[in-house]
Amino acid sequence: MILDEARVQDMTRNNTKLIASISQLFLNELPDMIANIERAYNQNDCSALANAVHRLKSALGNFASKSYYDEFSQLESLALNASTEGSSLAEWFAAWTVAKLKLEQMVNELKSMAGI
Amino acid sequence: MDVLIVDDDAITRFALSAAVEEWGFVPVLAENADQALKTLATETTPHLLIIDWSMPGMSGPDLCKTIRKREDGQFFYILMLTGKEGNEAIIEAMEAGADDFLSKPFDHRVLKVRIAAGSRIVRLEQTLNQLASRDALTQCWNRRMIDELFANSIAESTRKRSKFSVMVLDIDHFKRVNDTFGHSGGDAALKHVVNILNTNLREYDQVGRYGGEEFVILLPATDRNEAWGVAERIRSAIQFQPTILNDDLKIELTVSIGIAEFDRSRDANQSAFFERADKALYTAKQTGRNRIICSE
Repeated sequence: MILDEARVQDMTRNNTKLIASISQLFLNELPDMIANIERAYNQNDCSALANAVHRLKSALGNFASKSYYDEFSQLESLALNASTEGSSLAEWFAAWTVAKLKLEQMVNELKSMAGI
Repeated sequence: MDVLIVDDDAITRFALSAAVEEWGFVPVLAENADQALKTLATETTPHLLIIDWSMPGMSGPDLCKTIRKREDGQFFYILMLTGKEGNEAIIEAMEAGADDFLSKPFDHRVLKVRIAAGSRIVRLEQTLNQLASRDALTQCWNRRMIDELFANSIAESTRKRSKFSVMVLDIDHFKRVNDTFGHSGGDAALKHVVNILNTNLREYDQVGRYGGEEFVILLPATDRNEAWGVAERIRSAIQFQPTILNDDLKIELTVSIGIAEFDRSRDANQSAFFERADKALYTAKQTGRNRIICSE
């Protein structure tokens, strides 16, 4: 389970309307957030990549399990390291590929929980 | 109590907003530091702040530093939210001026108790501020505060080139009131006078107790003629509305008032300006009391 249901329930006091609203807001913003990450990667702009990953990480902080959130912290660190040390983004891309698959899983879990 | 939430992430803003509202606070939202600073510049600024660390433009720690540089003496309780972990991040946030620190992803129950603790500190600070700036008996401004407001009003009048008048009011024969009705009667009379002042002044006028039975009233955007009208309303209200102690006992009062309008060309400083109003009051006393004298 990538989604932290208890966190979402706690945050919304298990208010179903609020769960639906906040989930929908996340789902609406998600394509843009992913596009920003992939654009920055394709342009090899490590600083923009770190910012874009950070933005998605912040949003995930409201829904995701701690271990999945930590994966995004790691993605952000890899992008920042590449930015400051000029290292390759190969390791970052491998980690992103895994994280993105889990993101799809979390989206499905969220849709199911929110009934949308 | 208002809570300012500063976070560039719309989802976090939404979640925090819903949460703090549920906990009995009023959320005020800002997407970035610039928006936050605009909100903090208003008269109804929130004093309890939740600030995200990483934001486009000015970061959370830099926003904290900017807030702490304010010179107006206002207190803000700042809770910093961040994805960073570890002691270094805590030290950096606290050194920037944050009062508390919470790592993301955070447990909302923890945020709830931290916000509650912050709100207690804000209330305590507001109480202390109230005690330090208000006259304990009448609840109008005390001398320290009215002096400060007086200086601000002069600065504002100079900056905007606007009219500004000051009124110095003294209760006539107040010693006689205390001797006749005791100090509790004198206290009731002082409170009654301040009630009348508050009723007859505009929202932006300021009243301060300067000494025992002497009050200073600041009248922004007011020339000497308008100030005279206000003073006459007050003088007659005090004369015709005695302090009622009980069904059988009332205290008849009159007041003398000195007025001066700020004149940049002749008032070199605050004390020179005040002295003109005070001299006018002295003249009012010398010429029979229960009257208003305006400084020429």
